Amino acid sequence: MDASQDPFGPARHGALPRHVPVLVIGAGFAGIGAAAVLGRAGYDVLVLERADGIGGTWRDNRYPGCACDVPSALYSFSFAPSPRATTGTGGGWSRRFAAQPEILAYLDGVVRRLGLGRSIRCGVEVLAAAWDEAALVWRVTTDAGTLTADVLISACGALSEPAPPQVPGLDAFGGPVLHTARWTPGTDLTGLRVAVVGTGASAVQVVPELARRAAELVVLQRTPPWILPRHDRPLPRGRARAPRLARAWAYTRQELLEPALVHRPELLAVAERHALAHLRRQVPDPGLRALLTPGYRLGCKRVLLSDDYYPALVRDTVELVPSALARLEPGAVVSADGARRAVDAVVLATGFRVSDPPIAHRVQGRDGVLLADAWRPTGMQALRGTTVTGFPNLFLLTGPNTGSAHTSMVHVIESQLRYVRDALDVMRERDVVAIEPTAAAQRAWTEDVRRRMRSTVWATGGCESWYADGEGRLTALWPGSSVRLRLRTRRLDVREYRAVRR
Amino acid sequence: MTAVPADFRPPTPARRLTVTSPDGARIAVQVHEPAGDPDAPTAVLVHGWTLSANFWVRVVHRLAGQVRMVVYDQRGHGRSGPVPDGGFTAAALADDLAAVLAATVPGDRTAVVTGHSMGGMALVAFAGRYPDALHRQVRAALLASTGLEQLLGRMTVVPWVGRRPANAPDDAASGPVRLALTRRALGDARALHLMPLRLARATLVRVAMSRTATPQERAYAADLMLACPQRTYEGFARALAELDLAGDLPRLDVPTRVLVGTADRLTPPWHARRMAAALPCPAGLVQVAGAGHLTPLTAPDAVAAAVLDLARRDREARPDQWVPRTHG
Repeated sequence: MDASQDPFGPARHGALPRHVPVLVIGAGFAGIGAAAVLGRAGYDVLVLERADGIGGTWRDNRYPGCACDVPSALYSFSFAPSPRATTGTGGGWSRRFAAQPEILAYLDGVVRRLGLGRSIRCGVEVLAAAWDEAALVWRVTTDAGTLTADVLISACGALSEPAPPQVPGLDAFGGPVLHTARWTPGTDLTGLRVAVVGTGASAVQVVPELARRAAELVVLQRTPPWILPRHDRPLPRGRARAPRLARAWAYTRQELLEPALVHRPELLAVAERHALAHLRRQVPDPGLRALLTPGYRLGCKRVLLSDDYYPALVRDTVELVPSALARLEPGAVVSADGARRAVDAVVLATGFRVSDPPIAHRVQGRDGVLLADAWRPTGMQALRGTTVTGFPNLFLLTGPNTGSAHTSMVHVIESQLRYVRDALDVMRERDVVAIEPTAAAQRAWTEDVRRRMRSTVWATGGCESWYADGEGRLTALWPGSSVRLRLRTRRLDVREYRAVRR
Repeated sequence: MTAVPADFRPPTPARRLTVTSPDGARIAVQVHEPAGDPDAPTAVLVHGWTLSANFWVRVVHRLAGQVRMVVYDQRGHGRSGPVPDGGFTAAALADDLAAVLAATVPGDRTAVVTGHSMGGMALVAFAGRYPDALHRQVRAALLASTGLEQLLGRMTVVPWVGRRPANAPDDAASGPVRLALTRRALGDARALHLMPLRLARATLVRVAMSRTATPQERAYAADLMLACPQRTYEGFARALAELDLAGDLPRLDVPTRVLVGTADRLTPPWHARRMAAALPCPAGLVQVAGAGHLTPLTAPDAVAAAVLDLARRDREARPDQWVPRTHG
């Protein structure tokens, strides 16, 4: 079926309205969740998506092996805990950790089942948004025209903009250079010599797949990750009958990790022994194992789950180069320790721009201040991870210090959406046109977050990770349990805000 | 947190290649180039039974930047391919070495070849089979912790049973009972794999290493040996039991140094002394006090110093000038 004629899918044509009450940027988990939650609460929502389909992260990341790292029972909306509720096909999640196609199909099912298609416009990119202090609206410029919005919600995601390595020669390589998040479907690397740069979450998933297909595979590793057994398995169909029970169980298990990560990193030594035993079982050669043994506390960088990454590295056709990428030459990669390997294709599994999100360069608050400039001296910060002083009626989903290292980001998004809905309710009840957090409230919140951050493994574990920005400030993660975040974003505290009445 | 000492982390080779031996065995070779010194001498490092190229990790770290190194996995070990049927022979190991030298040591260059244990046997067999290549490509040799004959008979791996009188020399030949037990103990990988892992590791460490080995060295060595495929283990165990290469030793007529640990149970110093006496071009005998069989791992400084010394000497020097002034 031609997608453009799909009556229940997201719209792709037609003029934009001149004004919308609530404008959401991005149609991934956060944007779809916003359309569902705020739409049900009676708000008129328009979601603008620059790509020509929904799904966000799960549309962009199409590399072979892509799957989620949190049990699917939990990595799903609480109001639609299993695909059964959305696609009507019967079964629940097919595996404990669903693969990318299933998650994308799930999101598509959510959009159709809840009738969100008419709230979503695909193929429209927001180029700029500026707060009009006189009219008390956001003036939004898109590549399909301009419109105004009372409330602007950024649902762009923290992991959306690829971060290619800053090395010379990316253009001079002369063969395919692919970022995992910009994988061209149908790319076939079978029989080629391939280099994978990076050993993070995407690399650990793509390496086993490439190792099966490529003639030779070179994996460039700057720092070894900690890897725990994944225990992925197909789920029995019966499991779909109690999705909420499965969800509660998965939630509880994930949440048990939090005290160690945040308050007592030394307890993580137990998990380290577990991970080292996993490494020992899967890598018999002590030399390779020495290169794969991390020298920092487990949890400091993202903990990965894999049962097939280490076995892939053991294959005769796979070589681990324990060094960063120094440069690309025509037909070869060169590592920082001087090794040069001739390859036909390069896969960049180098992650995302987390601490300097592109959307911050497109949003101007009061007095024309760019969000990126407002953040530059202090690092990213937002009251309760969601609102920013100087930027009235702007809400950031997956905003500063809301990231979760131990549990589902969908849970975090739903916490934030409750907060946004409560904010909109308060504005409607009290006849308020615009709200903006006070500088004092935002400062107090940020100080509290950074004080809590001090005991965490991300601050003390002895590593460099994407959790920290260029200045070493930990602006990505929430230093606490997901319960705590949900409680702290349960209601809008009007004392923290400045309001403008009509 | 579990930092691994830097010299146990294998450096990245500048180049990797696969060489095919005459009988079809695929040999995985790594070449380490010193940056900015194209004229650096070449050292070829040949490991022993049940080990792999990573066995040399500490020596490679010490020689890095000073010599060009060619390190390879012997057939059936590490990343090299499986041993073809009938390929568990010293002659086949010699063929592998010849193929590696042909692929990595260009016509106008020479190399110092270091063989540890079964690698040393490969080197002596190579001298017997390829005299031309020996003279053309090998400038000097180091035989580290190796032996050429009576291997089972001289081992001291079986405790207590059939022990010699207290006044007998350390490495006198074993009697028949002890010999049978040694053959049984060495030849059967199955028993090793049936044991609890902890016991298997302890057994391997006791046999191959001395008391002076550090925990890190023990763990690394035990893992290396346990990673050896059972077929490789048993195939070469049978070959080693019957090996006699003493006849080839006189053909190793390049300056050759012998190195041994004084507490070696697998190839006791008896072998080293015997070889040093029979070498046509002896260049010294280095005895490392207290060291066990795995000298490149437990005495990397002594091994690296010997390689470097041999690599830097003038080939035309008189043989007596090759003898090191001090014994380690």
